[in-house]
Amino acid sequence: MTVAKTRNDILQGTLALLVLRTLAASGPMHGYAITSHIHRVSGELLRVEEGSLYPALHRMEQDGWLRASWGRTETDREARFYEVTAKGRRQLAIERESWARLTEGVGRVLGYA
Amino acid sequence: MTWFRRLINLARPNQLARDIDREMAFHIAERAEELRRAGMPEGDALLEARRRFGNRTLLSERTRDADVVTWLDSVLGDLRYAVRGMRRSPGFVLVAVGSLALGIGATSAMLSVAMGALLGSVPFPDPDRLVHVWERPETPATPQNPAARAPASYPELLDWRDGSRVFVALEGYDETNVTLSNLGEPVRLQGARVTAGFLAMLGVRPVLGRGLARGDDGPGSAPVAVVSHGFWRRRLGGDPAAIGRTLTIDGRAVTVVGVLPRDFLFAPAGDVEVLLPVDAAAARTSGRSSRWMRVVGRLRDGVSVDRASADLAAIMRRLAAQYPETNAGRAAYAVSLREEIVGPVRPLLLALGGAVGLMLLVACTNVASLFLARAIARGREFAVRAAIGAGRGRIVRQLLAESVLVAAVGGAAGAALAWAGVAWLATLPLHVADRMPFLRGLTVDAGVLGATMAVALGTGVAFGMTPALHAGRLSLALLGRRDGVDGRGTPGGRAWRALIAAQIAFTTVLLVGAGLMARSLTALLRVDLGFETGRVVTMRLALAGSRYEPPAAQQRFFETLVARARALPGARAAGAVSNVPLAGGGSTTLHVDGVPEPRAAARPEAMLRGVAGDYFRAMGIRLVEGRALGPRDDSAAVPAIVVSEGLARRLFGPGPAVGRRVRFYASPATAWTVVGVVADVRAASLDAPAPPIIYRSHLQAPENRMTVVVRAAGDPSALLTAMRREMRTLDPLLPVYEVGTMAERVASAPAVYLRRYLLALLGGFALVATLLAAFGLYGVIAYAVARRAREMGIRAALGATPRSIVMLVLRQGATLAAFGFAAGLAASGALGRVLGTLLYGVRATDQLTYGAVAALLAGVTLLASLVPARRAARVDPAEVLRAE
Repeated sequence: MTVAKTRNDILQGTLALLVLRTLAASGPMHGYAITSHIHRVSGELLRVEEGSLYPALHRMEQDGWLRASWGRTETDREARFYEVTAKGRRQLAIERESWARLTEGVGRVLGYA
Repeated sequence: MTWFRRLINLARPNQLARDIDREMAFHIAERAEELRRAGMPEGDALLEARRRFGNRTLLSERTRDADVVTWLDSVLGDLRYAVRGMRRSPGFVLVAVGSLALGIGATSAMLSVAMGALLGSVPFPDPDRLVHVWERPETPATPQNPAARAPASYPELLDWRDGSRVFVALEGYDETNVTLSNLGEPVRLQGARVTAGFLAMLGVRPVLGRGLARGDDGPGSAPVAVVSHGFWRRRLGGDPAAIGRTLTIDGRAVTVVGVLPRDFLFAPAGDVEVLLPVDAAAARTSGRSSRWMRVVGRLRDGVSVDRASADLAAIMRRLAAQYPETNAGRAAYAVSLREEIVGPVRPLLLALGGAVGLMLLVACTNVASLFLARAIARGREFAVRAAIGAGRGRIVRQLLAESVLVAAVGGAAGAALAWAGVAWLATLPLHVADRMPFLRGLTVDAGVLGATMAVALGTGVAFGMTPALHAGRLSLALLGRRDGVDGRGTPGGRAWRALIAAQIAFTTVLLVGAGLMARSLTALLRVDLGFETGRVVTMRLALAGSRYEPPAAQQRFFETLVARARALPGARAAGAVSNVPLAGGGSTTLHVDGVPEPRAAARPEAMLRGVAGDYFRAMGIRLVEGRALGPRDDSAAVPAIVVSEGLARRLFGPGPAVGRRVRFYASPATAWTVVGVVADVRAASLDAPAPPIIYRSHLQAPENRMTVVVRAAGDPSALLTAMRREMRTLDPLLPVYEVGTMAERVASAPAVYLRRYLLALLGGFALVATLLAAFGLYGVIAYAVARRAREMGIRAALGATPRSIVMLVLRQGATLAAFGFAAGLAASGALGRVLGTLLYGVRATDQLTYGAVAALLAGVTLLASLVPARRAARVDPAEVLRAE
């Protein structure tokens, strides 16, 4: 994400995919934890810009894919936690499928001799 | 659900911002914590975390945008900005809203009245089939009867009914006053006597009981009456069992048989409270030349008014041959009832309509120029906006918000003003409103209000958008210059000046109109009435009931009353007359003894008046020849008359009138001798020439209705109270009415009142328009001066005196005003046609008025241009040149 400066639907959709997958697998998290998780699990290949994250999180919340609430971290700090909803899980499945199709298509084009 | 959340978030922006802030603060804290754990010192860690986070404000905003209904939020933002802008320039808002309110309010009120007049004046089914029938002597219109129309007689009505094939029905009516004496204090009621089929012809269905029927006017039938809705509510208490109740009308017991519907309105008869049947038998025997009945008819389908007139003319020719004595040379014609009612009011409506139309134009022009001026002044602001990336659409939206805001407030104020205006217009004094009963309960017409609003608001919004047109044309290069926009060549400047010139033109027309009305009014008030109005009081009585049936009783009563009035302290002279001046009346034909009889059509006519006591002295009517009538002119003496001066000249030429004898065609057996001549009196109306009048003593020609006239030595109202007391001792059961002074009567005569009304309106409009034009002129010149500050500085540096600079600016203003004035003068030429008969004693192209208006405008222009001119002269050339 740090490489691509342009905003486009593919990247935005990818972010949604990553966030949904993260939350579905690891349960409720706050924004910072999400970026840390993605950064770590991707082997530091992906870094989410804060500039993209929070607007995306709020948008996903408006769309009903996430549910947000204020809670306390282990260090007893107040933070806003996000968790995925049933609708979000359905959306996750859709996003996964379109990602699979995308990579398949790109791979075929690249592999064309 | 999410939409709902977004809308709610609009209302709690602070809470939302705080939440987002907290969330981000947490993120930064976590990042800083992580960096510290990796070894970075505390301060640096925080700094780095913040830097990595990015533009917090921008992020906050973008995050927020996801949480609210964005477009609505930005519209609200525009409105908030607009409101702030309005608060900074209260003058602009005040004048803009004021102009809109005035334009919308005045126009809507006036047009609502006009529509009420035109549409509501004949509220009967199939109103365009109804016509009013008038008679006319075959001579051309005479000065005393400019419309050349007269009522008909009852036998003639019957002849018309028999002979005409174009009418479904022909019915007659006559206004009358009657006394009601069995419901509390005796009162006078306004009423009408109508023929039996009158209500049926109009298509009026009573809400209670029945209308008048065929048998009600017969000789032996029981006296009945139909009462108005208002009467039923006020005096019978809205009693559902009112039918069958008895009223004592003029001393006789009359049974109520019906109640008219609430919206019944027969304007020619005024605001009637009771309808009584005509006494058919008596009317039939009263003779063909006793003309008192007004006739209304309903035409058959497909018959035009002209055809009806032709038909009536044919019948009249037959009657002239059959009854040459009474009908020679008389014709009859029909006029649409709507025309009959609205016709007299039309000049007033036209004039008022024109005035408010102009007012609307002035208001729109003013609002347009205000917005344009603002646009020009903010040219710089919009250039900057465009430069930093605001799209055309965004700018347009901002301007729309401002215009709509002003328009909304102005529209609301205008609607309120319209309601108030209609309410005020509907409170004309009773006897004027009597002829225009459609004013009762009038409200603002929704359609009119909507249309006027659309015009005014449309103008405001359209001109509010003009900066958007300029924003595209302004280049950054222009921004660099200190002036921003050059005054002379401004795209808006020319339009602005044209608008101001137009405003001045409209103002000119209004001022000329007001001036002409003022001159008409003064001319009218200076007219020699022929009688005095100062300290002359009047009180009218109608004798009714069996007690006063014999003529001798009537005469005795009035003699006594006049004598008592004369004896009152504070009374200098007292008399009585059958009809005071300005009260109108019918006329009769006469013949001079010893002179060859002219053709029937050319017979002289005169109004008849009965007098008692010292009438001429009480009224201040000058005696020209001979003597006045007195107590010796009683039934035993020679029948004597006094004639008016004009009539004397006409009948007897330059020679003496006293001693000549006259006979009336209505009763040719009696010869009346002239014993005196008095000055002419405006007996019919202020603006009509004095009609010929013949006065007879009531002792020789009894009257049962007279107005007592007393000249007071001191306070008139004290005298009136004393007179009332005397009346009560004489006969407490007789109501008195039309109590007041002649001065009041003259002031409230329609001729005077209508013109004063119109003058007040025109004057008010003209004043407001002048003020607005002055402000507009000031604005446009001040702006021009400000823009040409550099030029003024250079001129001063090159040696121009302050005076010459002032003259330069003044000349600018004068040119603009001159254009406007010239255009206005040209338009004023049409005023003659619009004002028409309302002009009295002055031509539409009256030079005095034009001159006065020119002087006024010149003065206003001078004042408006003076302040900017002085400022221009004071420009310090050094400062201006340095700042370049």
